[in-house]
Amino acid sequence: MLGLEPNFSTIDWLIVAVYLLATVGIGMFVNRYIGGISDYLVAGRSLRSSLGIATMVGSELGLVTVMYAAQTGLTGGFSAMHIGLVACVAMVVIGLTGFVVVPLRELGVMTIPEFYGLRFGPNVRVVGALVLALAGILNMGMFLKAGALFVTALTGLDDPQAVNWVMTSLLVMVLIYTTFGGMVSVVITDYLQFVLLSFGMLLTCGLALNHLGWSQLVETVELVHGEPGVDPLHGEGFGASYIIWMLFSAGICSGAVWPTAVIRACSADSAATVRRLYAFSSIGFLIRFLVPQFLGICALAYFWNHPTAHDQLFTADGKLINDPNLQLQAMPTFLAQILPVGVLGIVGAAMLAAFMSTHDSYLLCWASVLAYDVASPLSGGRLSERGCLALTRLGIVVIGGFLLVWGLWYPLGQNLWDYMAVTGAIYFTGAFAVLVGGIYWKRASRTGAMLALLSGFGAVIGLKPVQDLLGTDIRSEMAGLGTVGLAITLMILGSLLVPDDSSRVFETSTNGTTTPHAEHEPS
Amino acid sequence: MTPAAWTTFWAILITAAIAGFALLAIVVTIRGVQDIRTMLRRMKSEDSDATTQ
Repeated sequence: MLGLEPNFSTIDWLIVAVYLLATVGIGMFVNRYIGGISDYLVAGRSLRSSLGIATMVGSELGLVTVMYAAQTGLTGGFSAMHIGLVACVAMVVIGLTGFVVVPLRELGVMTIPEFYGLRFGPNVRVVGALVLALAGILNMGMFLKAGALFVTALTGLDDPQAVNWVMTSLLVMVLIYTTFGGMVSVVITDYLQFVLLSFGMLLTCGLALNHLGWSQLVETVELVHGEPGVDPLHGEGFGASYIIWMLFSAGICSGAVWPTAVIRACSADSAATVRRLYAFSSIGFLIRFLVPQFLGICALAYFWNHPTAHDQLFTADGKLINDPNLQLQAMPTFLAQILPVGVLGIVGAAMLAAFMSTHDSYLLCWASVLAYDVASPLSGGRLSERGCLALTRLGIVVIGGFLLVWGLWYPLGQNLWDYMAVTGAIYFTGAFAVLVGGIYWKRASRTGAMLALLSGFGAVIGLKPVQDLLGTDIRSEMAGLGTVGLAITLMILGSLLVPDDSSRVFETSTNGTTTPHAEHEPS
Repeated sequence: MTPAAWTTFWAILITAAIAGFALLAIVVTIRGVQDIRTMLRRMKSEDSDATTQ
């Protein structure tokens, strides 16, 4: 815990335990409302605005988000806040224009690969679903590790075995209620988690600012990071290319292409709700980066000015020690020092709630894609709805097992956020080209779509272990932007050089989008 | 922009974002309960409709 003993007490543990058990209980209780696959995957498409906002923010504001955003605040200073700002702007634009999400909702699809199937045929659907599930599961790979670091730093539980048991128990709880209750339990537990997390984080910000003072934060950022710590355009800091990458990855793709966000649009009761959902969730998308980054900056100032713990986080010449694990522990260690007993328990419960709310949505999303978009089309329509549901539940458990193993042995070696953006890019770089081409360009063909989807694998060059293996050093944003360019180029070239046959007809709706109405493959 | 201007910009952004989010959290907390009731009622009625058919 960076050389400091936390204040986490028995009362705090009690608060955490009561909250977690209540969440699981409620999640299992709603199992009685599940009638079919539509209820299970998209809550019967009955999501209204307020609940939609709560579940969207609840899912996207997970513990792992809090951890990586705090790390970027620690390592980048105030400049890191540009990430939330560009994400917010992108969400407002998606809400106002309905870009991608409204056409998807109007088509009535339950998953993104289902759209691929309608537009480009079953082969693209299966390949798209496999790429999506692979990237999504890899993207989740560090969730447990981040969660374990958080629990260790906040509670002082330094026995690795104990931490592993805590994290495994949390995962099992999520598996139980997600397996039973599907999207209905996800939505309701997300709502509870949104409430606890929102007020917990707002209270924490107030206490942190009261403890340190604004001027101390500014002075520390200037001392540690210099001008790049406040100016995101500064060449020695993030720079313009990183900001463009964030606009694309944390903004457009997080909102309009990332399936856990898109599934909320598909669960909404109308297109108007989708627009409202995105416009209002923009504040949540800003906050999910900005508040943890602010807390990361508070941790920076706290450790910089601490008489004994300073050397745990900084080198002799005043630079941050380049160890991702230490950097990730800084924010929760700081919270464990300044928050009073009781409040610490509420914040701990809120953060673990955030951990669970992301896991439930992600597990349901990837498992449903594997069952509904891979197994079902491959079975040639022989898989019944009941079989699909059973397979989704099995998938949730299998993915949970994989996460336990991957989280333990993968060497991170870079900013957690960069790992998340790069693994996500395996899917969303290709998916962006396929979705936009499929919805807005009549001539987009299945060859172009297939090439664009496969080109997403180019993004793995941004991962540190892959770079070490190849002996290269490419900035993650350059790897990501390069892959986006490649996917778009292949989508265009593939479609122009190998067009689909003319028997496949698409209608153009009043908003300029193309709508397939032929070749519905069995599902 | 000068560093001082950037610092002011971030201070305004943090204040505005936290105030906006606090408002959103209050509204969503209150209206979310009603939405949950509506969702569950709707799903239950659809389920019983399907059973009677």
